[in-house]
Amino acid sequence: MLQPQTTAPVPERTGPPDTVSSMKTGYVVALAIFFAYIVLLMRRVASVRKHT
Amino acid sequence: MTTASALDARSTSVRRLPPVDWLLMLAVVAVAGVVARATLYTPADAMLGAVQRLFYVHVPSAILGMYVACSVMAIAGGLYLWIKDDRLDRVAESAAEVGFVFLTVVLVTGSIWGKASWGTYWAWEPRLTSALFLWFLVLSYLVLRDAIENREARARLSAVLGVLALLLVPFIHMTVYLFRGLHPEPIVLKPEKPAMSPEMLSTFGFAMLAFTVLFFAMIRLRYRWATARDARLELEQA
Repeated sequence: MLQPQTTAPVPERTGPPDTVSSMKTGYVVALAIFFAYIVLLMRRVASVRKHT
Repeated sequence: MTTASALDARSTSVRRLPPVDWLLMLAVVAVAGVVARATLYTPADAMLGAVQRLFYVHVPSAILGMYVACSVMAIAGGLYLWIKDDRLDRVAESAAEVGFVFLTVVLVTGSIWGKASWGTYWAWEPRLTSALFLWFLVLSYLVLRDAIENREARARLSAVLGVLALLLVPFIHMTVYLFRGLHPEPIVLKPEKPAMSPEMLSTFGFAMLAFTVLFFAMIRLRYRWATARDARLELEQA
């Protein structure tokens, strides 16, 4: 007996989209920028202290 | 002419630079707390999902980088043109540099948020484009300062540019009302109450406080470094 051909059911989207990776990327990049600037400030301070 | 006592005072200001800045340490701990609270304990937006949590770094950075830093840069610069006090010039340059860092964070986080929400990292729409113009203006302020050797001319010309940069800020704020674009209208900086749940609002308040401490800790350290740098230059020239 032939089975009726069916296509795989498309899951109905419920709830918000999965954007966790975007959130993580955003936080990592933002913190990296702040951290890099803090390191730059510390190096400048250390340089002035060293040469005085 | 610089007197011996003035030179001695400047030498002391260089030596006084602390190896560890307590305010900066406090700010780093507070920002770490914000990240933990925002990503782990604050509910995600029903429409946008988890990426909406970038709000807690994007909006405080925008308020501090655009409104506060540009105001400090322009007011200190404007006062310098009037009073000619070197300390005001150092405040203006510190605010500009720290503001540039915060504006960079605004553009980068906004871009990542835009990719998740609008499907594109960048759109030439009014709010984004005018914010990019401000970023370039502050960058040009910093480049201008590096390009001019004469201290008085550098302070005077950069003060004028700083005052002009501030004129762009109200326009950027109004772009979402004046033009049709992708960027949403303000959620916090508007006459009505913020349209957020109490949990989101408390996380935002905490984030605003933590990034404000970070902002002023950075400006404080940058100002102290600039003071020490100028003192060292004067000691070398004496």
